[in-house]
Amino acid sequence: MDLVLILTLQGVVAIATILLFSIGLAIIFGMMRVINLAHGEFMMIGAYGAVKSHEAGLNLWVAMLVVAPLVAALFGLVVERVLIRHLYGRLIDTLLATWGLSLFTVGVVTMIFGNTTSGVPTPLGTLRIGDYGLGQYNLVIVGVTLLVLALVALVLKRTSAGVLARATMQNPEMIAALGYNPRRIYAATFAIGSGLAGLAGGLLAPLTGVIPAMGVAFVAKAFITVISGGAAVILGTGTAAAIYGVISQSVTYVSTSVIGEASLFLAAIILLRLLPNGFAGRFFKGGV
Amino acid sequence: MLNTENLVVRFGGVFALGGVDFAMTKGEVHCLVGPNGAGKSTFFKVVTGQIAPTSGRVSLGGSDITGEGSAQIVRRGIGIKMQTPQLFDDMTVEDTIWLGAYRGRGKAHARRRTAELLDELRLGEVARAEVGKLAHGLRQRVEIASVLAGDPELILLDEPAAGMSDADVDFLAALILRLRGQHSFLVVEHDMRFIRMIADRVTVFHNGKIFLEGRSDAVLSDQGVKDIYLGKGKAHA
Amino acid sequence: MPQTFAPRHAGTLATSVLILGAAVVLPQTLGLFTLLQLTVYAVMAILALSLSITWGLGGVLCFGQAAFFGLGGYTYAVAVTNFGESTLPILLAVLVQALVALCLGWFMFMGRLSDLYVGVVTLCTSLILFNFANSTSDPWYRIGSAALNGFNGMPAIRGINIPFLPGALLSPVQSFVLTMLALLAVYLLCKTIAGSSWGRVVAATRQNPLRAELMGYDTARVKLGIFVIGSAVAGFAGCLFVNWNGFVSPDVFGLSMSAQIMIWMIVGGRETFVGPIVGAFALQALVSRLGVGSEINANVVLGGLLMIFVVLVPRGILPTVRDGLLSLGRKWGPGKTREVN
Repeated sequence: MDLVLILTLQGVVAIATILLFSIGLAIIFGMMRVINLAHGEFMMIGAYGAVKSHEAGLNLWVAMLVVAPLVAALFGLVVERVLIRHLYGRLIDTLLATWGLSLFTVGVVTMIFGNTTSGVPTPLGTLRIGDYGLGQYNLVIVGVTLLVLALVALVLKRTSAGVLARATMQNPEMIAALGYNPRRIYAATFAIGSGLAGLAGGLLAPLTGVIPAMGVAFVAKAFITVISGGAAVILGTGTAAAIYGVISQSVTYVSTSVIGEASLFLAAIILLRLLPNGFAGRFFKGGV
Repeated sequence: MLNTENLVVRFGGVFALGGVDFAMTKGEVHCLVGPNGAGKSTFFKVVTGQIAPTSGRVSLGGSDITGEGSAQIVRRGIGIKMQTPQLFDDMTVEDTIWLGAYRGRGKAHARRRTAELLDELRLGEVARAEVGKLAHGLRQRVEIASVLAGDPELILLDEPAAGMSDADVDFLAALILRLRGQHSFLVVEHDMRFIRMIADRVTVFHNGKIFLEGRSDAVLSDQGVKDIYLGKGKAHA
Repeated sequence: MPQTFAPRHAGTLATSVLILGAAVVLPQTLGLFTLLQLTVYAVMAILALSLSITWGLGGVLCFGQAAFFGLGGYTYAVAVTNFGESTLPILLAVLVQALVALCLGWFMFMGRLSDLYVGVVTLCTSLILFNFANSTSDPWYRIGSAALNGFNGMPAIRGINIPFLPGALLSPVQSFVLTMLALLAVYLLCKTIAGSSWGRVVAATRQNPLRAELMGYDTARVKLGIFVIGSAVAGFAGCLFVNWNGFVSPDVFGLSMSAQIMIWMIVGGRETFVGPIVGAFALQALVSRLGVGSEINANVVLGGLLMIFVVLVPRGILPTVRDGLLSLGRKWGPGKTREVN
């Protein structure tokens, strides 16, 4: 019984983690048709923001929940202006250029901070369930993920922001004629996606350790989750995260975490073959 | 040679085609007309294998081709030209036509056929030009040449005259009249002048059904058909 | 005869002579260290050409070219350790990859996956191999007498010998000559494919799959064919890499490996076959120079170049320079046909 409970909890944590580090990418892909392969580096920058500000004496929670997303969002604003805006409408090129950005950022951060692991202590203690234990911090991650999802859903559903962003990608002149500033909409969308990546980086920093190349561990999984999700930011990405989280967690339980990760990729290959339009194309047409 | 039986296409709850029985015989030039949304484009897409019908049957020369993809249908001897030109922009005119002729017939045939068609469609001067750099009318002509290159028995054209100058339209009409012995044509078209020049028979679509089918002159002078185009069609349907 | 895809003979000849000349002359003029470096550059140039076939010519967006490169290396390493002779292992490195690509490609192209999905699936494949190879440390993971050794990699792998003479291992200089000849052969293979009738069908499929289908070509099969050839060449490069290195580890499957190949191609010029070769040589030379006593991280340079080229010079160096020269030529000289290649 305890085992079932702990495994369920671990599954939920795994799903929440995937969702947390994918949602920023999902927003940028879903709204702007830009694939940001430097997504992992936005996380890394958020993580460094959290670590360095904590080292400078800032409260850990403020560092993770406020500084991390802010730093990454600012970086996102710069990147959008300098790089991404030249590439709207060229999906494959955004992918290649941001791959370059990813290498570039890893290199620059290595030159500044060195190729060493910095870390922050994992806050909170361990939750005991019978003979088993689970870090309470993991539950914080689940909580924050739910909160972020709720906020994103609210913004997309209840306000016209989502529609506006999508419409801007399709017809910027029209949006300009309606009195909105397309440049500002692009910048805002990209910055929000980047900020969410930074938040994920900050929150995961205590669990993973922080090194310049930490993004690599996330970007492929985030990319795959988002692409399998398809056009619906929350429902699609959510379903994909749930499936991949459960599969990799179960396989990890019966073998090793490396094989668990490999099983995630294998599941992705099979899913893409079965649903060539992603979950959104199959089940959630027109949803968010 | 091309027949459909009780063809139905439904998008969600809307009937785009509500049971179409269509037949055309070998050697004729057959035009499909009708106001926007009448179902002629949907019909064209089903026949060319771009969408599968909800129910019903498409057959070519007696064999069932319902639900086959475009490539399969083409390999059965149908040539297809869609509404927006589909071309290889970085390729030369010559190569484009060559590719149409090469499949299944080999290099020697392809070379000969390319030369013939460059001549026949008066494309010799631009043979070495890149297709992407040509004017719209010429691009349409290149695409038609590449379709002819496959020597199809039946050629399906979706609004071939759209966006063309009068001179280009005249050229195309003359070409179709010259080729009608060797190929049959099924043409979706709006341009009445063009239809009058080429059509043997005309089928009028209205509200997803065939409204009238018959000899070109009879159909085009029909009062009901004129009413449909002027928006009074409901009374007759 | 249509001209576009016929090989531009003068350019091809010049390139071939250049590669051949380097293979003959350089061993006499350069030191061993430089030759060893040039050997691995040439191996990577072959790898770059393999992606030129798959992506440049075939338009198949393959983010996992490293999968075939790495598998080729592992196939060779395992086979040569078992056989004690290199002829069959080289063949296996090529054939196994062709077979793997056939299966994977069948799955992708017959399922009509979009370009982007093909990219994701190939990426996943290389990541699966990376994870798997890393988790084979247990001595249980062995094929015949070859232990896979997990993340530590397989050390001390036999090099290539003269066919069927296990005693006659190639010297480093001979390996250099062999690699250059292999580069020449692969380059000529690329040119032959591009210039053939089938190559024209491949180009047509890349440029407009719909029109190619409407001409009756089976585009799925065309893509499958080009994918198999490109992957087999990548496997060959992997085998040559292990011959040079004497060692293979899971890093050959890594993301940065796949990224590098794309960078060489994009910087050199993805529309040509010489471009990726030039890109591979130039960028590796640049990176190895940066590696020695420099403050600048190689990733900064590679990443920066990739961004700059995608945004500002999307066609890459060679086509841009060629067109520049051509427009100059048109201004100054009598109209010459395109021969720079």
